[in-house]
This record gives sequence, structure tokens and C-alpha cells, in this order.
Amino acid sequence: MLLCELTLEYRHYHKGFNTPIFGVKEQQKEKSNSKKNGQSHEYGPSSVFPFRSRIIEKNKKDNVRIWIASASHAEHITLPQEEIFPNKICDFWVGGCEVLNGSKAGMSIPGNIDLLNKYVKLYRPDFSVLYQMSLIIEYQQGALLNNIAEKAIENRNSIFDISHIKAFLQTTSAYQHLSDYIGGNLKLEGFLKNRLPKTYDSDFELQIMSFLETSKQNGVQPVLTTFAASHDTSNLSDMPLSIRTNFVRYNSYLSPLGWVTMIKHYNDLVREIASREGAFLIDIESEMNGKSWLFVDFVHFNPEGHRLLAIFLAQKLQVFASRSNTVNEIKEDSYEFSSNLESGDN
Amino acid sequence: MTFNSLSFALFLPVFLLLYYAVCSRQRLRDVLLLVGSYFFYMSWYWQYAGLIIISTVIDYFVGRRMHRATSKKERKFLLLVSLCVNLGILAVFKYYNFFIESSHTAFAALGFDIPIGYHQLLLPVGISFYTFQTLSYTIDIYRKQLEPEESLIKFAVFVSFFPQLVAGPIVRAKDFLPQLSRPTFLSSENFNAGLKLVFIGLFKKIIIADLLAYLIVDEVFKDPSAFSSWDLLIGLYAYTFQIYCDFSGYSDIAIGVALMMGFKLAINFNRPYISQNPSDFWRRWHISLSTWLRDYLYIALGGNRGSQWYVARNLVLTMLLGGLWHGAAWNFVIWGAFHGLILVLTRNIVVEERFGVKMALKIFINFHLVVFGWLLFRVSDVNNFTAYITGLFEFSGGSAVSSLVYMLLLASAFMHFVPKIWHENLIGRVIDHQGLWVRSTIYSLMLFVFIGASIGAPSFIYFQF
Repeated sequence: MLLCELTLEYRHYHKGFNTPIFGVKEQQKEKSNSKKNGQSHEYGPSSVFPFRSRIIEKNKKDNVRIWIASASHAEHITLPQEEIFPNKICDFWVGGCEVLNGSKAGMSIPGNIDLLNKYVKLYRPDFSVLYQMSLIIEYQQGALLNNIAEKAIENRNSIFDISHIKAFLQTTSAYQHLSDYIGGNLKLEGFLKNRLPKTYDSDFELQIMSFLETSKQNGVQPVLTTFAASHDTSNLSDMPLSIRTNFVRYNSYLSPLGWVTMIKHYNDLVREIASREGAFLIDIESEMNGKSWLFVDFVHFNPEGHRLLAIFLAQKLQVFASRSNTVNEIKEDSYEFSSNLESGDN
Repeated sequence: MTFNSLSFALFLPVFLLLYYAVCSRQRLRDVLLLVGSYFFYMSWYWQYAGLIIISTVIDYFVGRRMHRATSKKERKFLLLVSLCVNLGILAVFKYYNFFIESSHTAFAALGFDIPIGYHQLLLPVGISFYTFQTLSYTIDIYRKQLEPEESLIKFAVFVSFFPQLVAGPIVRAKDFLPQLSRPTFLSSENFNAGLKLVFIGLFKKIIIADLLAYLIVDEVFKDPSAFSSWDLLIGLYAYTFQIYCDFSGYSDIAIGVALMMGFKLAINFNRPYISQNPSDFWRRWHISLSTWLRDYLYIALGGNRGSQWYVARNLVLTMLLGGLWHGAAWNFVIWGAFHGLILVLTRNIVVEERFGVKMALKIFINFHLVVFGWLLFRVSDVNNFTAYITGLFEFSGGSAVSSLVYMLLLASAFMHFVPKIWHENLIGRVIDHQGLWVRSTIYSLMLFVFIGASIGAPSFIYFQF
């Protein structure tokens, strides 16, 4: 079993994945490259700059600063930094532009909010773009399927807590493969559902609203986006089995059909919230949803997908920036405190 | 810590290594068995280890005192103490809420609104099993069929022996304590047989029981109205084999682990679905419980002595209490009553010795009686039962069931309905006759399959009892 695990790990390592034994090849390569070229720290994350984007100064000049609040879609550690959409936006921007990529794999909206709250005074972004949906649906399914309270009681009352070992073993390559090839295929044979209970709509709405409010309270212009997936109802039957089995690793309650239906439903909710709250909206769904050739799996973009999304975001955000010049004026007042904080830091 | 959990996979090898290191020294072995068993139990909910300690200490001293007592009155009093303590704990932790709720409903029907106060205590895992085990010890001493155990440690090991602590088989003191008194006998044959049983048990649990639950059973019972009559029928058959594989799988693992340590536990299942009448079924299903009920309840009530009505009363009462033992809910009581009733009605049906049409017909009819019983056992309430029965007899067409369900049902049927020698030969050819390396590879591959197939690792059904 160990031999099998070692072989799989080595293969995964070569493909650029994070492995428990060999680590991440991509990061090692980047480190050595930056040392060779003498271009140290062009991109984060680093100890002082926690974002996977081009390192910028804390002092804000005339450039428009865009905060990307997302998850693995925007972090995408297996791609070079310059190929992911947050870091390409400024390539298509007319004028000065800076991006803070506040996205991490597994980061949900509360995580996005915490990060924004932590750094907003230091970096003073103009826009906070929220691109989140699949994780919310994943967590909602998790809450439906697991009695979290019961599990917590069990863990609290056990003298043998092995949750760390369990978490470690779940990162092994053998586990990932078994989960995909056996667990995934078996899950697909079950009665997966075609919708989440309606009560979860309000949970989704609350999360979006809290992001809007946090952004506004911090003087940042929130931008909501709809979500794009590799497949929609029209081409779902074309979804390859490997993507389906990967899909059920993260979605144990919804069927692929149920999932794309929920994406559509929540996208409609996002549009409704944006219109009701007067928030900026970028309709990524209408541009990219169902275009499977732009994705590596069911939610993550390939380099071409990243490029097209960056162009789309740059165009829309530029329009918003020209529409909301007042935003910067408002910020000049509200950032007096943060400027002091910054100088204090220095 | 369930047998199909990672915790147990880590615990067992470490424990076995320690056990093999000390097993030649009996006292040390007993201490290790005790510590290991309490660790196993406390890994679930450490506070409830206190309940086993109370049962153990009370029954240990009651047993010794009872043995020394000369007057029948004192013996009776001591037996009463043991019964009150053990059944009292069971009543509080397992049945209190059920009785309170049932009384409230009954009084409400009469127009009285009595205040209701539930407790929020969790049901201690395996409480019904170890309670019956310790009760059998004191009753046997009371009946002068058993000498009390001198060593508190050995007695504590008997009560808490981890392989069968939480879901049986219910071991009798006269079978187990003598094994503790002898030096440990270890052999590679026992180890191999035990390991094979562990893997067979895991296969039954993870591959058949859990998958049937996930692929069909849980869904059809959650909302029967959403399924066709055919799917409901298949769902019912699936539950019939799920509960068998779940529980007999656990027993196999328990017996296998004990065997790897040199202890022999009696079999708990003997292909129950090939039984020809309900009485035959209870000789093959959960044998340790049915013999317990027979020896300590049915016989105590009068057994077969007396008129037909008297015997019928004894049978129904025994099965009613047997049903209640399974859980604090009315469907278990009704399930018990149903089995009591069919036991009474089929008393004159003889078991055929030779295979033929008569035997096949008897197996078929009895199997379906048992299947109906499982419907009563599994439903959540009256509405659920009505919806299931209505859907079943609507004779609506169509099926949404995966072909994998049929494959699993076929595998289960193979385990049951073909001669035992066939699958013994099959397992023998695949595992027993192979060299160490091939066997290790087969077991490793099986472990990979088990890990892959474990979807959320549900608990063993019988843990709740």
C-alpha cells in the first residue's frame, strides 16, 4: 500500500499538485526561477503580502485597485501566477490598475469578509469583486448531510481524537484516487437530488448581503458576479465521467443536474439582489457558462478561460470605474484614518 | 470507534502487538485486555464507562455473596439487587423518554395534559448487550449453574471484552470465563481464520450493507411515495439483506478479532433466511440473543409447560420484550409482537430435512414473513408504514434503481441460498490456498476497495440497541 502511495504521490508531484510527501513542485520551480533571474517577490503570497497577485505598495496612488474575493477559482495554484484571471485583468486595463487577489482554495464568503476586513485599511481597494458560488453550495450540502452538532459532541467526549490523522490521510494520493474512481462512481449510482431545500436560498442571500454590507462599510464598491460552470442543462450529458466522479467528491447531495440547476437559481438570486441593492453586477454566467472548453473541470478555468474572464472583467470594471468617480472622492475622506494607521505601521 | 473506522484500524494492530508481547503472562494479559477494552469504549463517549464499571462491580460482589448465601431469601434479594441496578440503568438511559412520551400520549387521549420532561442523555453504546451479559452471570449463579469469578479483573474483562462489547454476540460467563482462566493459545491457523473473518465482516458491512443503504434503502424509506411498487419491493429486499450483512458482518469481525487473540466466541448467525418457519429463523438469527431470551425469559415465564394459550402467551411476551430490547420505539414492540404471533401460528410447521418443493415453499413463505417484519422494524412511524404499504400495492411500474443494487442483492442471495460448501470452497480457493504474499496482496486490494467504497462510513445498525 505504501509503495502504491509513493508512486501515485510522485506522479501527482510531477503534475504540479500539492502532495504530503513531495510538496508542491510549482512553488519549488517558482522559487528557483526567481532566485536565478534575480526577480525576487514579483508575486505574492509572501510573509508580508498574503495575496496571490503582483506585489503592490500599500500607498495608493491614482491606480484603480481591485480586490478579488473568491476561492480556488482565482487562486489556482497549479497555474503560474501570471496566467490566472485576477493577475491578467490589468493587462487589459486602459490606465493604471492594481489587483489584490484575496482568494484561497476552500475560502468561503465569511473567509473573504474576514480577509477584506483585515487588509482593507492598508490597501484601500476601490472595488471588491465577489466570485463565489460552488463552495456555498458545497457547504450547504455538507450541512444537510452531516449532523455537525452530533459529531462535535462525539469528538468532545472521545478520548481518542484522530481527526488530524484522518485529515492527513485524506490528502494522500491513494485516497484521492480511490475517492474518485470507486467512491465517485458509487455515489453517482445513488439517488442524488435535483435541488437544495428552498430554505437554503435565504442562507445564500444572507451571505451575499453580508459581503455587500462589509464592502460598503469599508468604503469599497462591491461588485457582484454571476457564476459560470463548465456545463449547463443543454450539454450536461457531454460531461465526461472523470469530471462527474470529481464532481461528486465535493457534492454528495446534489446530482450534476441538480447542481447546474442550483447554479442557475442562485445566479438569478444574485441578479435580483444586485438590482434590489443597486450593486454593480458582472454577468459572467451569460458570457462563459456551459463553455466546457474554457474549463479544466466543472468550475476551474483553463488558461484560455482565465484570459477571457480577465478581458471580460476588465471591460466591465472599467465601465464601473468611469461611472463611479465619486467613489474615490468618498474614499479620500474615509481613508484619513487608514492613512494614519499606515503611517503608524511604518 | 466502529470496526469500519480509521480509529479501529489504528487501534487494533497496536493492541494486537502489545497483546502478543504479554499474552504468555496471564495477569498482565488480563490487565491489557481490560485497559484496551475500556479505551475502546471510552473512545466513543468516555463518561459512560462509569455505567459499565457500576454494572461490573455490583454484579461481581452480588455474584460472590450470592454463592456464599445459604438462605433462598437472601439469594432472591441479591438477584433483585442485580436486576434493579442493571435494568434500572437500562430503563433510565434507554427507555425513560419513550415511557414518558407514551404516557403523555395515553393521558392526552383520556383528556389529561400531564407535564412532560425528557432527559437529554445520549444512549450509551452497547448498553443492552453488556446488561444482558452481566444479568446472565448473576441469574446463572442464582440458578446454581455457575460458580462466581474470583478475580475482579477477569470478571471486568468478561463484561467489557472489546470485540463484542458494543454489538454482541452476547457471551455467556460459562463460555468465556473458563477461556480467561486458561493460558492463551495462539496459532497461525486461528490468526488466519480470524483475519479472514474480519475481512468477510468488513466486506458484508462496507460493500453490501452500506451500499444497499446508500443506493436504495435510505431513499425508499425516506419518501416511499416517490418510488414505484417495484422499487419499494426491491428496497424492502435490500433492507432485509442490509440488516443481515450489517449485523452479521459486525459479529464476524467480533468473532474474528477474538480468534486472533485466542478466544472462541460462538457463531451468531447461521444463514437465517433459509429458515423454514419462524422458530427455525430464531435459531439462526442473532443466536446469542434468541438463546438468551429463551433461557432467561421464556423458560422463566413457564416455557412450553402448560396449555396452548399459556405457551402462546409466553411466546408473545418474550418476543414483545425482545422487540423492546431492540429499541425504545413502538415499531420495535410491534415487530416483536408480530414475531410472537407468527411463532404461535406456525408452531406445528415442521422443518423439512431434504430439499424439495415443500422445503423451497416453506423457505419462500417464511422469508417473506421475515421481510414483512423488517418493514415494521424499519419504518419511522405509522404514516411511513402506510405510505410504504400503499405504494407497494399500487402496482405502479418503472424503476429508478441502479443495476448495482441487483448485483449486491445477487451476491447476498448467493451467500444465503446456495449450499454453504460452495462459498466456503470459493473463499478457500481465493484466499486459503494462496501463499502469504498473494494473500497479503488480496487483503491490501480489499482494503483499497473498502476505503474507496466507504461513503461517509455510517454506523452499524445494531449499535443503537
